[in-house]
Amino acid sequence: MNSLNRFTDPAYCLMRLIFGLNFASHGGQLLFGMFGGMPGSNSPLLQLCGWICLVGGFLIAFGLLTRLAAFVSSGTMAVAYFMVHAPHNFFPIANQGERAVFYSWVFLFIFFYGPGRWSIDAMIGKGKAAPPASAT
Amino acid sequence: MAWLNRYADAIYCIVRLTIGLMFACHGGVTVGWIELSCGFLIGFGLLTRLAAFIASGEMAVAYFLTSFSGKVIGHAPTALERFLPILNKGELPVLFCFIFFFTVFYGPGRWSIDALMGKRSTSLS
Repeated sequence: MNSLNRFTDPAYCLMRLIFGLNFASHGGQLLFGMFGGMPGSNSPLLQLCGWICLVGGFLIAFGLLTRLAAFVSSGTMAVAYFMVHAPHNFFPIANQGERAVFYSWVFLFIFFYGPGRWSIDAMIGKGKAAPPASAT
Repeated sequence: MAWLNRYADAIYCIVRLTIGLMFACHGGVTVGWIELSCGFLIGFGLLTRLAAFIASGEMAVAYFLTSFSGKVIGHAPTALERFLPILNKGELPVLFCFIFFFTVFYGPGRWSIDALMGKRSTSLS
């Protein structure tokens, strides 16, 4: 099954795109009341979170400054989980914080993995941001 | 920043564990045997690629049968509601689907039962 590893990096870039865009849509929800909005989203903290979601999401999706954006977004989601969701219940499935856990961990992985080959970072860097050779 | 890639595989294994166990929780709530078994298999890295392939496919089907068709929001979806997971409440199936799709290709990683059982580890470094 190791032959599948040839396609790890394209699958990774696809996943990064989907996660980034979904994350950015939460930014639109918090900042501009798109998609039905979210109650209480005009507090300064949620506005800050909204900007991080929107900008960070698009940066991750298209792979520009990927590691930096992923680090900030991952931290934001960890704070969101422990501030908003964790007090209600220990289990993510019961405290509605599953998506926060999801984004936090996946962006942490993106922070370590890097932009991958289909990204603006790789286009600018020409090989500098290329995936590690043994992954392909 | 490429030195961070040394730790990518370790982080990957933690992510796989967390998300696999969250997926198994869904099986516990709705008595979904695929979720329960594949969640634990992915979480601990046994038959990882096979379990992830099944889980990813199941989530894709779940998304199109429930969220995309408007069953979750309870009315016929508009074009925008079909297209955007944030509107049709199908964000979670989409995220599960794509992370497991990535898992199929990445493999079990170094901290997994597959790797312990002596199959060649698919680590990054």
